[in-house]
Amino acid sequence: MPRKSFVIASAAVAALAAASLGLAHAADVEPKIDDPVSLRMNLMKDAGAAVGIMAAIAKGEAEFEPRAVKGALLTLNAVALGFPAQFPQGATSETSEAAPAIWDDAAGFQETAAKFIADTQQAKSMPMTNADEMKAALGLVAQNCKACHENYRVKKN
Amino acid sequence: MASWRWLIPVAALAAAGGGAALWLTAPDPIGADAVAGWSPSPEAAARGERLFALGSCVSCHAAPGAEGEARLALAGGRAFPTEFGTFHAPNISQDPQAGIGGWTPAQFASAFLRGVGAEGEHLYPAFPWPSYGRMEVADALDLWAYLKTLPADPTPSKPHDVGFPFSIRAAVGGWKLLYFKPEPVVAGLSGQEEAGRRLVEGIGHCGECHTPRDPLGGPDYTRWLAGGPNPDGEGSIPNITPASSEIGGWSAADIAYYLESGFTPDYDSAGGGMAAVIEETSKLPAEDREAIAAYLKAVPAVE
Repeated sequence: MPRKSFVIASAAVAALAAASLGLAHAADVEPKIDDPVSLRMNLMKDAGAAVGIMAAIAKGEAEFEPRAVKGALLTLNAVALGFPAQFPQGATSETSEAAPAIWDDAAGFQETAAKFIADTQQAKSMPMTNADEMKAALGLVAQNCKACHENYRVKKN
Repeated sequence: MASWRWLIPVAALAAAGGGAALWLTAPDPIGADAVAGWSPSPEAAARGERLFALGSCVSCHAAPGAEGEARLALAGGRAFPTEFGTFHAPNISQDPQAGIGGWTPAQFASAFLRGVGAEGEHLYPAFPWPSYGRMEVADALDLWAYLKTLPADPTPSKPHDVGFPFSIRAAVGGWKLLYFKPEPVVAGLSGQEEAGRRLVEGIGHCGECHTPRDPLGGPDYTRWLAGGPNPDGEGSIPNITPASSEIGGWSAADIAYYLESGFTPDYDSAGGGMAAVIEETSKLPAEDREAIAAYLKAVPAVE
């Protein structure tokens, strides 16, 4: 194989890899055990993915599958249980979208987080035999996304 | 922000000659003849209710902390801190003293479409009349018919707390001369895109937040919907043109679904001020959300 075309092909592969890494970089944060910002960002990504599994069924893009839905609801419950502890005083960063209100209005944030826990506890035990039952559980859980993001999340680009 | 910058249009207007300046910047209300013979009907109120949701009027005019039906009292009081001072959303309930229940249809249309208050004074553009000014008199009257069906609330409006020279209402006349452009921002559209344009540029007043402002607080029309700093002070408002790093890659269906559910294609969810907007857009007929999405795909891409 002529060396030149090998180099071109390698460069093309590298460029593609770099492009996809660039995208991945924007979306993914490496979880580090001593960095609560990185842990909570990953928790939120997982919550989004879990909602996505159910939303695909709700939109008719995927078939209802009770075990997949149960897994998604358990994921959301696990996120709710683990999430509140990832906001120690002052734990923020350039890219963190945590609003100062999390610490300035700690009681309000606690209340909002407690509701997320209560609703996901309830949702994971709801009957789950068809898409309509799933939509009821999804609705119950999803209102918590808005409730918390409205007051405790600051959008950054 | 250097407050002296305000003096530029004020001084320019003074230099242009007091008489001409006053004529050019005088309030321009809707005449009584434009609404002659009009009276509210259930059909008009039903059309107005849709506009009321599209404009998300309650987001600003509901009393802070009001829930459910109480939001429809539109008692006002929410504070909007800006670099020019703090504006307070007024009571726009049907109370004849505290609210606007005593206004004539022409007075309401003048406030809504031209930014002219009941006393003939200029209204600050914190009230998004620069967007509503792209709508028709008939739209204003439909909205007025719906407002007439809502309750009265006796809570007095709080005065705005605005610094000199903007505390002089005549200065708003100079602002109107510079920035009030009631013609379409994106011209030449048709069909679904044009239907979306009417919603986004008019009643939806999306550009009020999503278009950056210059030092005089006027929209930068060359960067229409290209985002910028959040006027509420924290974070930023995303670019929503096709060049957006955030939503440029979304399909029209993705945008419509976001306006319905608050979920992005990654199932991140809307927050901040957009959460209240989604609360209203989720109630719209699907065709309205699809029209908005079609328009956003058609606007000039701004990096």
